[in-house]
Amino acid sequence: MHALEFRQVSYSYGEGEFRIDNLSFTVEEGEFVAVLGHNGSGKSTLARLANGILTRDGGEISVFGTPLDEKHLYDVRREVGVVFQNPDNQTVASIVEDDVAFGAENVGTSREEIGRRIDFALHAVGMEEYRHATIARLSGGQKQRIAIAGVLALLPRIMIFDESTAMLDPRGRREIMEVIARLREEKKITVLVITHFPEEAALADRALVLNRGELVMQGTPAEIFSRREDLLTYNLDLPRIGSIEQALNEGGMSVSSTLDYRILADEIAKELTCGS
Amino acid sequence: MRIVAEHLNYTYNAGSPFAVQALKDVTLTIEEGEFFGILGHTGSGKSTFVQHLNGLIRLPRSLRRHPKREDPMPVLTVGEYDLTSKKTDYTALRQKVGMVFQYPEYQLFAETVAADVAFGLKNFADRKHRPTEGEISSAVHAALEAVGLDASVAEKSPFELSGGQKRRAAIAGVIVTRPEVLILDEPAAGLDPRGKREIMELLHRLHGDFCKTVIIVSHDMDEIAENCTMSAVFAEGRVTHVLPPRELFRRGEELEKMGLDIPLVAKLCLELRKRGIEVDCDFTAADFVRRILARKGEKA
Repeated sequence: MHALEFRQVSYSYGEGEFRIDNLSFTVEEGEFVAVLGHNGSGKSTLARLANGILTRDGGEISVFGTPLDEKHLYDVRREVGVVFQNPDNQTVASIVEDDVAFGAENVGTSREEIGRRIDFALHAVGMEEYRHATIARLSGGQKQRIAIAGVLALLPRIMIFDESTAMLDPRGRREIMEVIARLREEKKITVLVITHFPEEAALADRALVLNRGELVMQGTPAEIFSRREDLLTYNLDLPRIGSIEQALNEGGMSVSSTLDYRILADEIAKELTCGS
Repeated sequence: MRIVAEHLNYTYNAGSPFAVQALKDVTLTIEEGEFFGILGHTGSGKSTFVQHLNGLIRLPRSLRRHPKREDPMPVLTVGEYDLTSKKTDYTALRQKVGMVFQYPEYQLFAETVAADVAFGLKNFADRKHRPTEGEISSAVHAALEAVGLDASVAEKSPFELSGGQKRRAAIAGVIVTRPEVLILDEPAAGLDPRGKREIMELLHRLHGDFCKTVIIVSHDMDEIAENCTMSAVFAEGRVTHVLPPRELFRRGEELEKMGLDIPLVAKLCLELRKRGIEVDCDFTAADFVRRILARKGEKA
């Protein structure tokens, strides 16, 4: 059984404007998948289709074997949590614990259970100390961790991060990526990360590349980033390290494509010191 | 316009339990013509500092009138404008110093792109010399052209544009008054790599043709290394370094100790040093590649 399955899914925002076209892919339980694609490629639409915020025009979506249809919409939505881009748009209460409880309260969780869920969720994102804090006084990264906790309180088995680090500073980005790594290891949550940052995609087990709503590439992040010509066709820029490797190779060196600057430094050092 | 700041202090919520001192004795000069990068963590005082430059944050009156004797008098001049004076004409200043906030596309509001871009121009206009419709229209079109937007978007709703286009439209609304100094807070944040590159290319074009000085506030060290002629580091309300990026990033280890990122090329240089190879480059990718290939050539 797949954690998430899209079978020939299509979706359009208006006549003839396809955002998702005949899209099929699967995500396995416990997997960490990155979704790449330039603006307008359909990445965010994919996230919204996966938990029924948008309703597909055609095809089938299922979550742990349960089809996403009218009858199962709320079951599926509880399994698939989505964290969005802007931390300020994802909080509803003014105090941390009230905000974290909001989603769970709305699905009728008992009071004692909500208490336990708040403990669990705040612990998972490393924000226990901020239980009674005012959200407005938190940093962007902290607010985003509260948004994640609010989703976690619903105990989803799949979490989708739709450019959830795009508005954060480098420190906030690191915090969120650490939380994601922990959720995978400790809570065995299946993770989909939609991102523009190659360094974030590099952490994934597998990467999908979307272009105009179609799945055009799929493989390990290292494989994807080594297919430079293809990336350029899909309007994706190489990560910075990739452009340096390419320029070195064009100048007559031979370094492999890696996303790790330490490995690149090793290879440059080897080329410059040993006989070639 | 040369910008000179000396001994600036600023405290948010002064006198309350939430008081936070955001600037501590900041002294910094930004010469005309620079492409200046300001970097530092969130909360380091970067934004507070740049908001002083067009009077969004003003020096506290008490300080202006009765400086404590032991404190050095603050100085803040932007070109001919002395912001410590009570008589500063802020409307005139704000035409000369354009400010583009983070995510400026969230501030678009008018029915058409043209009306949105014209807003600042109409509101800053001198009461005695109101610009004619013709003047407004030509200024709007020049601004749209400068940011690389096609004239056909002028009559569209700003909300029909793509994210990158919206950001350009918002920048057009600031440069339409022809500021001499253009300040942008995280101009490339939230864009995809291509969008980032395009915005930086746009800023270089504006720097040449439109505005004499460009100041960017950025977390992206690569962006600073690739684009800026001069840079300043803020940490905990103080200015810790004022150096051209090529000298600043030579102190990579020091910056890392401060918890700051360093550009990818600087990381590579540090790693190569550990392997006994010194690379003397300006920390742009192009220069790094050139120097490595030259080394390789010498060896062959």
